[in-house]
Amino acid sequence: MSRDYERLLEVIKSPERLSVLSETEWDDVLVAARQARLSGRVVAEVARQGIEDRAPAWLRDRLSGTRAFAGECERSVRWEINRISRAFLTLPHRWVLLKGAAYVAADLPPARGRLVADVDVLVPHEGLKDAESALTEHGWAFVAIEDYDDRYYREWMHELPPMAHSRRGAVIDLHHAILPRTSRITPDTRILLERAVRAGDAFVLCPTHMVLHAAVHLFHDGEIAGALRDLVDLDALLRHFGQDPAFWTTLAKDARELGVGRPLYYSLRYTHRVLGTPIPGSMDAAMKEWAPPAPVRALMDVLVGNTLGRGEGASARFSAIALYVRSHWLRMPPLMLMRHLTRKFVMRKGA
Amino acid sequence: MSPWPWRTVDPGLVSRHWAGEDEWVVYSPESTDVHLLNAAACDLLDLLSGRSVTSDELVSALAVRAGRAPDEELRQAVGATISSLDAAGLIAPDVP
Amino acid sequence: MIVRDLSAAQLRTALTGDGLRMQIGPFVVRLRSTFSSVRDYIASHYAFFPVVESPGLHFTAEVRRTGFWRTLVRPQATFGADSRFPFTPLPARLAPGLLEWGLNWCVGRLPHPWLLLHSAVIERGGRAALLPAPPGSGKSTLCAALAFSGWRLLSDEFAIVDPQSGDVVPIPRPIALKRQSIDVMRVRVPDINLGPALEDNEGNPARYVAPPSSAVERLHERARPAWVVVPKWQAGSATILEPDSRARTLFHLADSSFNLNTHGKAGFTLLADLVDEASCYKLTYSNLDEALAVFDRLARGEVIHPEGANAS
Repeated sequence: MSRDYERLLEVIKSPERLSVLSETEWDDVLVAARQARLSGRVVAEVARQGIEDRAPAWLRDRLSGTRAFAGECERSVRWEINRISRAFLTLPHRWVLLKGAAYVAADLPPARGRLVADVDVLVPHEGLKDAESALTEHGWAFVAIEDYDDRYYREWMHELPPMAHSRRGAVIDLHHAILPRTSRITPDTRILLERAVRAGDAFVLCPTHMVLHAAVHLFHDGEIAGALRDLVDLDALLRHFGQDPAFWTTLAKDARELGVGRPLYYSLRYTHRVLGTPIPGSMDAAMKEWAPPAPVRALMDVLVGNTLGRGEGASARFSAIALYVRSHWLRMPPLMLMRHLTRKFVMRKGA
Repeated sequence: MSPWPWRTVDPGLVSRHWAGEDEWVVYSPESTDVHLLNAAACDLLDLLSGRSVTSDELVSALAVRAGRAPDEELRQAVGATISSLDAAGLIAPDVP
Repeated sequence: MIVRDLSAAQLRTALTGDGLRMQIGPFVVRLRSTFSSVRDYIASHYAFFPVVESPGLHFTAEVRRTGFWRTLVRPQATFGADSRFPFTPLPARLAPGLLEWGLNWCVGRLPHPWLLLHSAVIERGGRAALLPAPPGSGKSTLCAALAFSGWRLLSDEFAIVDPQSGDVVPIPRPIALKRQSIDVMRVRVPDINLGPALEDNEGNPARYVAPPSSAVERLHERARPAWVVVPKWQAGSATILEPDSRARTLFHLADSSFNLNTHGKAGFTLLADLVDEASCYKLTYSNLDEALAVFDRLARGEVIHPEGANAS
């Protein structure tokens, strides 16, 4: 694992280490946190420990800047949720927020300082067309760049390509299933939509489904598709919801119902191993039931270690659109201004 | 026009105006958008702050403020302003 | 200690090793580069900037070679901010430019506490004039001309505003000139220190002018915004200075901000108060000397009639 990621993982597992970091270690942590999209988490810890007040000037500058940035990220997700509910005001179908946007809407621990790249929304298959029209009417348009193969999305994945808002640049991904149709497991969307719960202007998955979705998103088709932040999210959700013993019973039951025992197994195994997530003994039987053969598990142990060590998951992408910075309604976006001041301001794919 | 009444989206709008000028600068903390509005748009926004008002009621109120009858021209102007303010994220239909 | 105090060997060791930490405006920046052209450029254009010895930094900026095979055939350079190299590489001869463009990116995108506006800033008598203008308005040429005729350069691209006090913080980096501006300034300032020949995005000639040493020496001296002047160069135009409405000026400043959104309501209030305290104008011109004369009149506190005035 690279030095800065090691440092970041250390402070996530043992936040009290933040009080004793050297200048170089601080640089490592802040830079790695930004890259891993975990700045919000670091900022929350810094606030909790009152570190900013005792910090030297250069560190205060970086911490306050990071804090402001994290706050702005969270605000922009809330506003996006507001705009999406405006667009879906007359939609005759249920629509449910997934992942990061859901955490923000439900004000859950992983929401702090959240940098959300795209807003993911689940609708029933028969609602896709209406949802697409509603979004188009309110300023979203399909993203027409080479990153997204329109055909691949429509035919192979049976999904709509992402839509970006023409003015704000924010991206929305409409889903009618939480895994591509080509996956080996196909959790039933209807069950997810039926049991969704209200969160402000929107609906989000119920707690067990939220955790199972995070698990499935991170570990599907026998691979690890996400990165450190996704594991950190899972850990936060499990610690939050897991305080209620009934949650675990329902979690096991729902995992069986949706056929997602294996991804849940991996999630519990790796959050526990990497981040020390407390898993109650009541889950032992279920874990045995869903464990893969020992050689597969050994391979996964290595793969997960490598992926987290690289600091970037296969599906982690830093979209230039995603970090949209907006301050005003009719103007030249700062990204274009930056293009003027820099050269070839083109983010490499995956950068 | 929308069957529902309208109201402002962000309860924390901040505005600045200088005496003798005919434009207002309005800032919405929830969106971080900055808007430049003329007096009429500002009046409308004012009427909708913290209150739910139908477009008909808006037309009447603005007619009184303008000292004229609520005619078709005013109605159209109000309708257009409502659309702009809606698109700008300053107001939205208030659905029960 | 300033950069000029370092020996060539010390400069090379620092830049090719752990990095050279410099005070660039309010930022402590660690610079690294294996290019001798970048080293020469820093020695020439950043000669008077302080070297920082106490620990800590705001960010790391690096210009290095990319791709082993490429290096043999057509050498390329790439810019890294905090060890991340997200940009497409450019021809190695543009390495010094990459440093400047990369620093712009770092100032504009990395987290810090300051409010940033796309604006030139110059100062006289403790009072700063902000020149917020879109690309192509002639702002940089005007700024360069002012910087070399009695006005102190605070910045040619970024107005850095302190959210606590509303003061403008200097970042007197080299000034970017394009095309004819290069020749214009060469004539005005015969001993001007122009850096290597570079190109902008459209392939036009671009060069960086080393800032006046006096501006760099006063790097820690902040200034109060007293004027906002939106310049517009227009071929054949007479020199016209008109008062602008404060509402429009505020809107324009918000429009010019890179990061108003991270400052929220406090940021908006900061800009509104700035506009409230400043005198706000629009300046249309084609003759540079006449434009400079307008600024002299502003500095002398001469009253401008509301219906607009001809400077000459």
